[in-house]
Amino acid sequence: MPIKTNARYFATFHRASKFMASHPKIPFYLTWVFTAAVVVIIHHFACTLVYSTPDLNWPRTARDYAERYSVPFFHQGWKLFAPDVPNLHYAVFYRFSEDGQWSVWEDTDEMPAVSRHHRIGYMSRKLQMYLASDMRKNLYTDSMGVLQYDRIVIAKPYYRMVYWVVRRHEILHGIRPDSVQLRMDVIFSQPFDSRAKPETQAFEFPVYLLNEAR
Amino acid sequence: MNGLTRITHYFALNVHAPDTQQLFMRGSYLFLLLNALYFFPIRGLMWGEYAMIMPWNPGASPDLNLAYLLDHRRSWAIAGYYVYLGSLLLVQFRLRWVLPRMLVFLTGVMLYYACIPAFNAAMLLFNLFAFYMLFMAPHAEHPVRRMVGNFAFLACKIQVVMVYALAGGYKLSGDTWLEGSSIFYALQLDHYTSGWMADWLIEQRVLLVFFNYFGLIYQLGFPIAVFVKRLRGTWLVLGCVFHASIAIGMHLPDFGLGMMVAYLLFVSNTRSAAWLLKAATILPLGRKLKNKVLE
Repeated sequence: MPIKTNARYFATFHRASKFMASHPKIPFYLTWVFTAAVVVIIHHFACTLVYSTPDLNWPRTARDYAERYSVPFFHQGWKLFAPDVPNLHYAVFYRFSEDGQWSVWEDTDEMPAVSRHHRIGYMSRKLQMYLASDMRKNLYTDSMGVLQYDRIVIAKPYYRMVYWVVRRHEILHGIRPDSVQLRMDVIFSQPFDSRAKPETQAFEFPVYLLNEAR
Repeated sequence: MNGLTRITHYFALNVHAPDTQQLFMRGSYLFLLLNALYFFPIRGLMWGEYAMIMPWNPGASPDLNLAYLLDHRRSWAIAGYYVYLGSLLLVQFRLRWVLPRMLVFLTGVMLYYACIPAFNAAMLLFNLFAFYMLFMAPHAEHPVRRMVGNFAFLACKIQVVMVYALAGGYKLSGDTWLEGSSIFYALQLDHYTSGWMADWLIEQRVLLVFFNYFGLIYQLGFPIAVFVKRLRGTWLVLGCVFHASIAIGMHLPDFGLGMMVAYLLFVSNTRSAAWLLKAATILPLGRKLKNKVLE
């Protein structure tokens, strides 16, 4: 047994000597730099993990700290089509009024007269998605069963969509309308296990007056 | 020599896979340049006089954080875009210069916050890479620079692994991915599909279920497979096919291409050197690059 142990020690020593012979001496402070780098990298990815998984039950202090650290420079989210692919999508239309006359509904996605760039439609659909997400939280019916938009029309997603629509109108038509109205069509996908046709439900928002103080 | 010293040696004595680091940096900055040029025709609608997105965080001033500068001062945003484009052009020729790399990172984040709806996860990922690449130094001489560069390289790899682990893990908590219907539903989202292909594919239920589980297993397996030498090559090739189909089929060219560029991190040093040499012989400005590789 002792011979075996000595042999192992010798082998270890031999490997270390070979390693040292092939590696020049490095300054002692490098060990400290190394330790600091390891701490920094562990801290960074621990914060990233906590920030990117808000659904897990992290302690509140950890979540707050991770958010303060990650936003804005290290903001990230990896939830495209997760946890589920949505089984509905949206289309937002608008109409405008000039001298009391309402136009037909226009699509907010495309601006072929200005550009056919794919990213224009993408931006519009992202805004629609934010608006739809807000509607899921804040759209409700009163005691008479009438849909109430009052919480939605004071929120940012609605203003962002109206801003988009007004800018689009100004660019395409060269004037600012008196008022605009949005309509969102929610298109429910065909279920996986049936041949039923996709259904559509339309939501008409209240008129937004542009030339009067609201 | 204790363990800590040995591992310090490991990180400080040599640049890990210097050609892979260089290939990844060149690929990433080229991707960012192409991405910036993709927005060139609509820069006015995104950041210019005709910007269609209202200030995203009206309350967040640049005093709070520099990242919100262009969101706060919209009149500067288009200038920010040109600085970004100029820095990216400069980086293509002077990869070692830190200032343009820093400008790429800072203006990239600022432009993101000035037009959030225009971007997807690719921009977020490459902004993070732009940060890590500030510290990467494939030709470093000083041991501290080497060590920091090696850690930055490692951080990029961890970041990619994290993307797949989180995206895959989240999908396990839903229903559609587990029952095999996710691609079926994704094909019904107008904005992510191209007409004729979606119409044909949506009828092929067996194929859709196969793609569903393939995507799920691919993402969940990536963090392990990419570190197993035998599986790595296959996994990366499958990933390229997977992301190319996302790029074409779902109208997300930047995301698909971006993930393929991120795979350069896992290419071996020998292969990276060969690819750099090949690029140097093809590209008209590659002579200098060739000399550097041969060094």
